Amino acid sequence: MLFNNKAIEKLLKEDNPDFKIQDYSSSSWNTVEQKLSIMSYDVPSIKKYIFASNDFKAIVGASKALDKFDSTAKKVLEAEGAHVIITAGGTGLAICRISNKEKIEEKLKKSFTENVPGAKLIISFVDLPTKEIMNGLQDLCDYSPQSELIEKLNTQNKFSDLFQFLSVKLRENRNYALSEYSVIPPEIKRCEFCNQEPATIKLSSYEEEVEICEYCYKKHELGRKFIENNDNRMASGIDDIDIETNPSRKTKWYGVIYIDGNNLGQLYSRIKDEEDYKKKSEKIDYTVKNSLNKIISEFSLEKKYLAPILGGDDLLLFLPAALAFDVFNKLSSEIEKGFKELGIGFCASIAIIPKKLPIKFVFDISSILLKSAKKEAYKENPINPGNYIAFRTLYGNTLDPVNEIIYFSDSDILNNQLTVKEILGKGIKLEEFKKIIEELKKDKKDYTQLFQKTLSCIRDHPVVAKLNILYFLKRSKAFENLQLTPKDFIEKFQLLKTVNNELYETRIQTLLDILKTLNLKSEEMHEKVR
Amino acid sequence: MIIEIRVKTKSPLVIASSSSLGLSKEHVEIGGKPIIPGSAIKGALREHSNMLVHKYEAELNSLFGTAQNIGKLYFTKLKTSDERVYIEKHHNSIDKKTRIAIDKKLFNVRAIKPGVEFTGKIYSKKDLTNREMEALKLLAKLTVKLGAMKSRGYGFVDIEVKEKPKSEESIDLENLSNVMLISVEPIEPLMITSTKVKSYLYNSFNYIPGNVLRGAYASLLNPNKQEFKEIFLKEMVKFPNLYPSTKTSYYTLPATDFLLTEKYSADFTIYNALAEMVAVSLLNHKGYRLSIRAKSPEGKRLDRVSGWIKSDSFEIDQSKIKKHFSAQVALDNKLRSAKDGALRTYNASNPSQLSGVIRTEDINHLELLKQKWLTLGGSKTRGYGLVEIKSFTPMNFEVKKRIAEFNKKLKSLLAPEEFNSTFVPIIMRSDLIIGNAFCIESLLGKTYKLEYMQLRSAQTSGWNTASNSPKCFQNVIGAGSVLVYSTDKTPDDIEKDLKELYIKGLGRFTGSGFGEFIVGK
Repeated sequence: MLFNNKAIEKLLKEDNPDFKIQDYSSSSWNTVEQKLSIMSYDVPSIKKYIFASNDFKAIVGASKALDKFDSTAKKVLEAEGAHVIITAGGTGLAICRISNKEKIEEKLKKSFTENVPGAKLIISFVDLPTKEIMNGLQDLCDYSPQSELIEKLNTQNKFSDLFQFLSVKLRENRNYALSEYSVIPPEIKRCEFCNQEPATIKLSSYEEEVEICEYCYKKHELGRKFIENNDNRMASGIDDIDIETNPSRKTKWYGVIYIDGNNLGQLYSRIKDEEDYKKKSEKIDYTVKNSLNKIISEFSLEKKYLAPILGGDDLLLFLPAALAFDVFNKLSSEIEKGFKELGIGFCASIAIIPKKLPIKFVFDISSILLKSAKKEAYKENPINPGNYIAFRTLYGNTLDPVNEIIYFSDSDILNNQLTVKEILGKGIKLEEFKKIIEELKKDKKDYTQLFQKTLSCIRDHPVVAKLNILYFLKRSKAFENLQLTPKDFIEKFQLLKTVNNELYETRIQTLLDILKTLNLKSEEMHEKVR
Repeated sequence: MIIEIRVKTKSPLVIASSSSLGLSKEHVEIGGKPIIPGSAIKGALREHSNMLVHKYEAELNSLFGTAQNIGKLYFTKLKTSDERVYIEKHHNSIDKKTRIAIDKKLFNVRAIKPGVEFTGKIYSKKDLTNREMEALKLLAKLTVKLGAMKSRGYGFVDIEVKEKPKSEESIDLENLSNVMLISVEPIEPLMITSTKVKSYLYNSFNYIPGNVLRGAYASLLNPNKQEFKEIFLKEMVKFPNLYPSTKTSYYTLPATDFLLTEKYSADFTIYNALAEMVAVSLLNHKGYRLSIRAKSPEGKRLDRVSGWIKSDSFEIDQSKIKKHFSAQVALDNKLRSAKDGALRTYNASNPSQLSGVIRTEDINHLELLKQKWLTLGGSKTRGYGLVEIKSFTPMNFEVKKRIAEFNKKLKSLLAPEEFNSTFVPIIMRSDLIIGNAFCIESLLGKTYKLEYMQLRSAQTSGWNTASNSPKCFQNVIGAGSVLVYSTDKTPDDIEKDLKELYIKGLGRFTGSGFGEFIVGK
């Protein structure tokens, strides 16, 4: 059966005390025509909502508000006698009596408005005969789709078919919510945090007084209270995300790790029933949360980190830049272990971001980097993508983490157009990335010198550049220690990789940026930060 | 008016880039080619304006602007066609007291070598007076140094300015129709933001919104004339959003949710699932259990297309938008150091070409839009937002064929014979402002029934340059949204209705690019 027999039986009995089911077999359930309603809720664009405000505390507040709503929603649904399947990450699924729908909707909306300031909640109810809820959607008509893009939802994957049916209905309801119109006249000042709502409250907790909207104020207060709570282990501001506590020794950078599972859709499409769904969802959630807890204690990250997105297979973690690679190494190994048991992989991004960059851009930057990692992973294997990572240090205030640099573009004596380029923020195989870090750590100084010299000649004709690189290699201690042939060394670090007759790709700036992050110590950074 | 400017280097020249790659100082480049930014030329000329202020004060204020008024001149980047223009030089800092080299203070510079010629253009919306031209030429002569490290012998240049012929300033308007395809090419990166904010970080849109295009044309015309009132106040001309496109023969729109492609794939095969999505929705309401397949026929995961799509074929437009990142700082005239709090960071957008459709109720109005170049968005006098009009050609608005194609496919999917009406799919090319006066159900009129919608949310705002105040901030229906109506009207009547609505636009503020649509297929 797709859902818990006893829970469904209980729901049916509430409406009809005389209800009796012979046994819990599929054929018995097939005789039950009585309808129940499947409720699903969703907070659209949840990550955008969390990062809507350009204020650290408001971001923490938004994240916590959503967590709180999920647990409140569970209580509301249970109090109304609904059978709760899941309430997490701004989504929920439950089965209830049709007569209870209105009350549940009203209570959920009330709780949402009270708990999650400024967000939208989409609720959908789909009434289905119990036999379809328990045995899967049935083919009620003689219809054969005339398009390869349409599928009938009565395939072998009954649980995921039902899910898909519910999501079609949820999307329809979402449309109505989006058609609501609102306007703020020009004479009304807009919120300085989100720039999207009328500013009605003056907040004086910062150096300068700011005028903000009611929603941002509520989120800010939630975040402030959460941070002030002694139990809280997260940082109280971006400036605290540092290995140093002395303000004069702090760096101007912090790191952001974003991890997201690969091919979760495929995993869920194989789910058999409610129990299997809960088990797998919990395993994913546990793996990510447990891995995070391990690195917090191992690297003493208390009061030095922030995890504004933490739920399901998603983790967005702000941490001291100097620890970014070490933490990632441990974190990714832990997650890899847990995810492997479920047969899934993941992609990740690491961004080194200046603390002065407005925080609202961080999510977009990390998402673009993550997409770059996924693109390479799917390029290599579209059916079963491997684990990839994209890394980028954002100098200045650029908001464009994936960027192409053309080092050389000219025609040679045979009139062939030659190009040497680097794509900053391009996805790299996780395993390869880790090996590079390990290797560079061994002799940061010598590698830095070697790569700087390589960079200074990379703008030359590729043949000349290669000759110069070989010359520098011969004088490098790091090269000598590795005991590789020059060709293998150049290939290993992708100093100048031949893609085809006309195109060469290099990774030289990325290698130097990795080294700079490895060298991140406050006293050095004060010298280097522009 | 267009003024040609030539700069010839007489010593190494370095105008430092904001991102030097391994070198201490490196000359600024765009797309791997060296340039002289418009802001650097403007700054250098203006620096010498003090020497002429006693004789040409009014002219200099008019040319370069004051805190109250925008200057007449728009400086653009200068390019060179010379090959192998670089020279690398190494220097060491010397201790002021001991007069010996300071340890670890060796630095290298990648500069433009002497003898390289850069050329570019300075634009002015109004013709310069003789005295203004005279002042500009004098300034060009007086300016002998440019860029960084001037006290170390870098930056000696010869600058020359010359008026270009008038014939280069307007476009040919031979064939005019109510629907004109306009393509523009940015000469400088675009710096267009949704609102004027107090910030040091400016992040530009990747397209030109209709209200910005409208404002650019409005700044060229006399507001007291009847035509101005008709075009801009009565909104008789509809200025479109200009989106990136690789060719001038078609225009693009933001990708919509019914176009699917293989996730993260380099193969851009498109699956147009509009008819399928409408069919699934209609049939599910009748009790069917159907869904859109999440995988391609080859078993690869499908995802929504992103970026821009061609309006005619719904293929992905492959135009690449380069981001142009730069930081600029204002220099104090007297101290010659950076002014405190005057550092601005620009994340400008640099699409190779943009296009859209101008619609008008009266083709005579188009005669007034023959300017060959326009300045748009923010920081216009600092080398941003200059575009050249590449083409302005009549085009057809296709209705019947598209509706027939869509209905043929939809009806083949709707197996039962219950759906007899004609379905009209509307795809919003720009944001739609419904406001309180319109209703989404009856957007096409009472004879059309809303059957299906796929909406996106968006917010819109802007800055009113005329009144120097912000515009309304509105939550609107986003570009790329889809509305499908059914009607019992004949194809001829549908075509007539839609063509009329196309010229008028849907919803509010249609003169500023809102409410433009195309017919789906």
